[in-house]
Amino acid sequence: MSAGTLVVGTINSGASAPLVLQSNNTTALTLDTSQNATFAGTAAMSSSFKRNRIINGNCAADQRNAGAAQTITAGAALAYTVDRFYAYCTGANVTGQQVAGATANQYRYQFTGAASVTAINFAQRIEALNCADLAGTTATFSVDLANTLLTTVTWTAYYANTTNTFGTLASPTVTSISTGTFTVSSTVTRYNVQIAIPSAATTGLQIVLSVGAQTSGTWTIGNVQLEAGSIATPYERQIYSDQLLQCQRYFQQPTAWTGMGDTTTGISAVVTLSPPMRAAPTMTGISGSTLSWRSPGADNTSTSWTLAAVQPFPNGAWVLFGNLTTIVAGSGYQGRYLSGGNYILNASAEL
Amino acid sequence: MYTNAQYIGSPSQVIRCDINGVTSFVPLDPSNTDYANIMQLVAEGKLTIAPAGA
Repeated sequence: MSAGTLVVGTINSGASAPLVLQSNNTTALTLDTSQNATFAGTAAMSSSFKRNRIINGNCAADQRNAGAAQTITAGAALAYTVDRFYAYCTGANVTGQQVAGATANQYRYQFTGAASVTAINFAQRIEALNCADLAGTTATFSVDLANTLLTTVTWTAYYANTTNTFGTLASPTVTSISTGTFTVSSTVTRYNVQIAIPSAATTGLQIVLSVGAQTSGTWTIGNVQLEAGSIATPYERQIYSDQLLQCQRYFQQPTAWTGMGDTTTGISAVVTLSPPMRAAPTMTGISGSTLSWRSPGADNTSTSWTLAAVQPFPNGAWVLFGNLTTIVAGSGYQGRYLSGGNYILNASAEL
Repeated sequence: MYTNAQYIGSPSQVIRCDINGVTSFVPLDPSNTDYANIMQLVAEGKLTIAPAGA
């Protein structure tokens, strides 16, 4: 038999035999007896590897808190938590924290409820560069969830009205795509939903997970994934260093600087931002941190330093450290990174 | 939660303001989310940015 179409429900190679498919009289695909597939040519998928559009979906990178608990203040502006994800709540403050997961899932994010809480939201904004191709297609959202008190988790997808601009909680500038619910239990379970992304959604996406009155108990989230197509594939794991670099496009805590004495109380310095950030970042000094530097022949520290001025760029910043003593104008100074991870600056180019 | 906004430098390249109570330096970059939010608040009449040196 040559040309034609074979319509059949199941093709079975029988016991102890591989299934072989040929094209042009040559073996193209072999399915062995353990269901492993071997392609003779290239497997061209409708979506690529690196298919997860969510960054840090397994919550492994936590630059801001390094695993420590964080208070999410009710009614306040959105607060970034584990890298790339932000949270906000209403009614009363809640605590959020990166927590250990089961063996294969090292980390998850978990909120602990509190009396009077009326809602908790956990979300990520996806840069247009990483999701514009999904416009006009079906995408699949998958997530691990558990809740020891509530049985409903709501998901909502939005797109930005203008590229990468989502507005504030008080004045959002987004358009709702669709919403739905997952019925959850106290056991971590994986859920998925297909989302029809509008053709106008080339401007960045926002995926929000929310619960209602979490007045006690915990809400656990992990392995968040958004991918092209209508099939929920397993969570795509990445090498941690790759994942951290992806996060640092949006947030990093620079440590390397060199400078010179600007006055007797200030050091003018250049800070390196690596990798380059999405945009010139907003920069803040970390309260309570120790500024440490090497001047000719001596090490020095200050815990009362201030960030007097900053000029940020995507790949670096000029900063003026102030409120120092015994600085010699014109002398050279080099920043020292103290053991134990003493970060002094936050640089944020979040969406 | 943006308060106490002021342009810094001459010519100004950054806005110093408190974001959730933390002194922050926001570049005049339309791609920076804080800058976009500040400009939105200014347009809505909810925030005023003091001139440099004020």
